[in-house]
Amino acid sequence: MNSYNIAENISICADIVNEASKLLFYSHIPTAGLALLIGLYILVQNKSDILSRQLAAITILFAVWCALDLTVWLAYSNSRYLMFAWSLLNIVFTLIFVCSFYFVYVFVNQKDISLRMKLFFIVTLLPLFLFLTTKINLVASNATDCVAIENPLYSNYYLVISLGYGLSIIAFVTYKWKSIETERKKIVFLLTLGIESFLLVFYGTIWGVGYLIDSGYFEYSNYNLEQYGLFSMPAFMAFLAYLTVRYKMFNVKLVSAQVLVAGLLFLIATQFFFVETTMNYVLVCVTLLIGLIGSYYLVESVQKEINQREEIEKLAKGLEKANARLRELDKQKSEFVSIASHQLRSPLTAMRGYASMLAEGSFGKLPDKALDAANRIEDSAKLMAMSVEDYLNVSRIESGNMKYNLSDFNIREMTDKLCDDLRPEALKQNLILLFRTDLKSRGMVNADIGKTNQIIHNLINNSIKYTPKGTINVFMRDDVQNKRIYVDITDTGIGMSRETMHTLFQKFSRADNANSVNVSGTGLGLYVAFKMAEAMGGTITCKSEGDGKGSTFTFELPLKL
Amino acid sequence: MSFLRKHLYALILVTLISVSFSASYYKYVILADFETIFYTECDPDTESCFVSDDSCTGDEPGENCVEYFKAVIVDQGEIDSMCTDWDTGCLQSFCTSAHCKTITCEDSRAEYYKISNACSNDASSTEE
Repeated sequence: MNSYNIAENISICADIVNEASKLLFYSHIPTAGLALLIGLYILVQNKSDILSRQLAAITILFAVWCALDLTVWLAYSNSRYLMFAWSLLNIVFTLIFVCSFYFVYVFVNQKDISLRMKLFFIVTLLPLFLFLTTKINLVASNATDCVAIENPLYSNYYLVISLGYGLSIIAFVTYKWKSIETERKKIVFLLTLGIESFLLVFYGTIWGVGYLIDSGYFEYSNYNLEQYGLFSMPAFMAFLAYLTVRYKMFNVKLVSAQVLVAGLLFLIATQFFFVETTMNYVLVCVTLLIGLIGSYYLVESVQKEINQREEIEKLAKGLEKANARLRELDKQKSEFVSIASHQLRSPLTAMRGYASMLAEGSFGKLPDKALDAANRIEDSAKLMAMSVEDYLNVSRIESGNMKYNLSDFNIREMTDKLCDDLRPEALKQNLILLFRTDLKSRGMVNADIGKTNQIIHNLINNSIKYTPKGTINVFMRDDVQNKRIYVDITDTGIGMSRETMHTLFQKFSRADNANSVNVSGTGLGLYVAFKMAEAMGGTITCKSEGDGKGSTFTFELPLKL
Repeated sequence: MSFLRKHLYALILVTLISVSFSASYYKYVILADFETIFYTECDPDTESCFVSDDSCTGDEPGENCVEYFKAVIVDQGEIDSMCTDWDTGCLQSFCTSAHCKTITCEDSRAEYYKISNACSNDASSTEE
């Protein structure tokens, strides 16, 4: 005859359960409460935000898991509740992992997950739901050990699924890493780190302790070590709070305002405990009412400000993108101009050469009309070559490919020689070209000889073009103390208005009255000269008293003593 | 239609969770439709018992720390309907009336119920 002593069994079971620290088990309550509070608070603030909803789902599921786990502990002598709570623990555990993956997916992609993916979630979870109340989940209740006997089929399935979703977060973020905007990379990394730490610690303690006990490495009484995994949740919440404050993941300003308001209202409400007279009671009521109304408007105005700020940030982001696109287009345009100009230059050189040879009689003496035509071809080709050269220079400057070979040379001698070279051309237009100096130094500079020559040539040539009659003065001076040297080119030409001066050094900019004198300009010469001067540490400035009153262009470079 | 499509996932999941909680509560708490397993004394001379050597509490050297036990499976719903407050006398009469299933060490169901202790008829694990 068997002698059953169930009461003794329960007594043994109670001993085992009581070995666990009460503090450890009751710490479920604040842990779950904190997580739930934060999750629900964020949800209330951003009801329509899918990210907030997922975070709330994680925290609610975590709180439910804590409640079930606590029930398992408290209901050790009541196997009905023990089995009920235990049967649901695993599925809630798995749901936390699914929601965490969903949360990270939405955070990285900034859009909801596809319907197909959602159905995949449900398909993977379906066996857990279907077999929940069958012996595939829980075989029986063990009254001696105060546990439910789990079926390895079910427990292995939920552990594999949970681990799969946990690791998928890392795989997904790694896969998406390149496409994540640079400024979001840090926050995505920190969020992934936070959520993975929480999940892995949570998983590790649940699976790891169970495995070690089953394998015989741990005594059965060590099962309460599983409970330490819970504390990864407050750590994750602290991580979220850090991200919220540091990277404005959620509306921290609104949160601050609401906390302030809640604190103030609480303080006013505490006055009720000290009220002794009816008059005081009425006064506190009125104060509280005013406080409530004021708080409502304060929170509303903060919300409004946040909305406006978000709108502005959105617009700024749009503008930034448009700007980047424009820069890209400008670069492409410069490249196109560069290629096209190179292609044009070669045939132009041939045209100029043959036209010149025709005019010089290299192929026999030409009739007067043919000679005139050959000269015109040569002149036009020369103008076109100059225009092409301007385009090429602009293209090089904008793409940053302009090369400067700096060396020491005497700019005074260079300018003097240039004036000598251009004087015949000036004389052709009945202009006097003068060169004078008032240098205290030798006139040495460290710059690109070719580019400097081109700038001075360009400036004197401009003066010749835009001066119908009168004189062109080229004057050199220096400032030894400040180590600067200046070339002033002053003419008695058409001058310019104040408005024109402001835009003169911009691309394709020409004086309003320029076409009346010179119709062949591209409006690029001064832009190119200005950019070259700047690149060599100098500048070009312009002065004019107005239309018809002549102008002075000053080319400035650092002086080498 | 778009609302249904948008919230289909949440609706299915919330329904599944609610049904699961309800079904579990109904099965385990209301019906108590599950088995409960107990360990009880066993005579190794007459039965194939499980051997436990982790219940030694004696301090004297050479004290016998080995205990023999077998498992008894009962239907929780039936126990609750017949006995209250773990009434030992009631449970004894309950089991004598053939409502209890006994699992000895040779029983093939031992592994299913996760009892992995050695058997008393295994010479290496018994102390005679």
